[in-house]
Amino acid sequence: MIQMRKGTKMLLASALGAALLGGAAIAGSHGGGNKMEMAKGGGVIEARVKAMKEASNNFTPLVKMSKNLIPFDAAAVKKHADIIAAKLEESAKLFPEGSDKGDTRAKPEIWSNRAEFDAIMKTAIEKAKALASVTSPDQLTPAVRALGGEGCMACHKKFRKPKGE
Amino acid sequence: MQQGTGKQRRKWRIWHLVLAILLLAAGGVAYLYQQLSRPLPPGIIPAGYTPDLQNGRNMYLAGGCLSCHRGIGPHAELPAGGRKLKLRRGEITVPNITPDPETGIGRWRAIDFVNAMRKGLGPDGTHYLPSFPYTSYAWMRTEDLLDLFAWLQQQPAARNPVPREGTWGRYLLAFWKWLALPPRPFRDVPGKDATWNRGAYLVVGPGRCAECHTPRNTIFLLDRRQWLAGAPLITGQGRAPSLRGLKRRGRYKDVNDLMQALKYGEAMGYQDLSAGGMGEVQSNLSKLPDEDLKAIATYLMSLQ
Repeated sequence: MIQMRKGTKMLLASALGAALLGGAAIAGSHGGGNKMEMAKGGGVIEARVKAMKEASNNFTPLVKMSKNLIPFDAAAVKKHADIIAAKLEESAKLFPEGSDKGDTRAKPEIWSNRAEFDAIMKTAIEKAKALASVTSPDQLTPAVRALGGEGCMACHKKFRKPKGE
Repeated sequence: MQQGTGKQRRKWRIWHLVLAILLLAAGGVAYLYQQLSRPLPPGIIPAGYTPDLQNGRNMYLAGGCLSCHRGIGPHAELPAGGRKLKLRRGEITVPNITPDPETGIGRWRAIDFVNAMRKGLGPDGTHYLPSFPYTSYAWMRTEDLLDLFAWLQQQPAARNPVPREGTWGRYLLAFWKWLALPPRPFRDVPGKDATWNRGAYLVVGPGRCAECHTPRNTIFLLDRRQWLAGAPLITGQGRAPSLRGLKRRGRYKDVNDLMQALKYGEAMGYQDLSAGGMGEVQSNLSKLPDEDLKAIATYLMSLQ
């Protein structure tokens, strides 16, 4: 490799690479989603976002408890985990065919790979119910990670688009 | 008449001069291209080196090789390639890096692997497209590359032929790489402790975080003044967020918090690390040893 100062390199390469500019430069960025599509399917999408949000809000105190940020409370664990299970059961019914169109981060793969989606959802509900029966602090962290990992995370990695896409 | 002949002679001379300059320039470009396409010699590999396979596996995970090279169907857990990588301009098929001699890298020598990772050069001299992030991998130390190569060669071989898309632009890559490749592997920053330096190495080199989280200029070079400050994604949709000021902006409480986030992701309530490319990254990072995760978190949390 030829050793040269960065400035010299830049100068030489810019002289050489006018064509490179064309080849490697990035085309202007594309816009986001189609605004026309955003309007459709609002009701069911809103409902499932709300149900998921409530499940998530009830998961947060359990994570805090398992990190010892708030004291362990078996009754509170049951209360939150029951709500999570109920909200997951509710949202499982809120993914009808065609509801990938609109203001949603749901990937079309949910519908092209429905069996796997349903299987993860079923696991998540089971793990939420298992979490509800936790009675001691040492059972909590594995149960939280099981729900969060095999439920929430497993599904979101496969079937949820990142923010802003 | 005298004057006319003089004019003609002058014109003749100018054309000769132009031709000579053009020829010289072409020769210069050709010479430079040849120099820039030269692989590293096998001599850079330390004699009698014994690879550390455990470290090789960690490099594989930190490097997120599987995120792009993941195979299809029965090969889904192997880096057998074959998936399409969607870029703003068209798409490319990711190659097979399992040790299959026909369709993978089974016939490669260690120096071929080092050249691929550090120079973006194939064993036959092909200039690899920078979607293979050698611009970051080039920061990796030779020993780590040898460990990774040895580990890859021990994995099951998958027979999966992958076509290589060729474009004339590959020749121009020689010049682009001249600007884009780091001049030498990573060196520890003096005055910083071992954990910070380990983290910086993993982030800058194998972890290649900058490839998505640092913006690029018009000729696609990383803008180092905006190091890890967030950038639009190469797919054309969405943004990779800034990794600077994570503590100041309240994204993570402390080093341990970020370490937990990288290790457990959404399983411990850290939502933004699941969907999209970062989900793949987190899956790989979760398998790294705790010391390495702590190092990565230490370095990232130090960025202001």
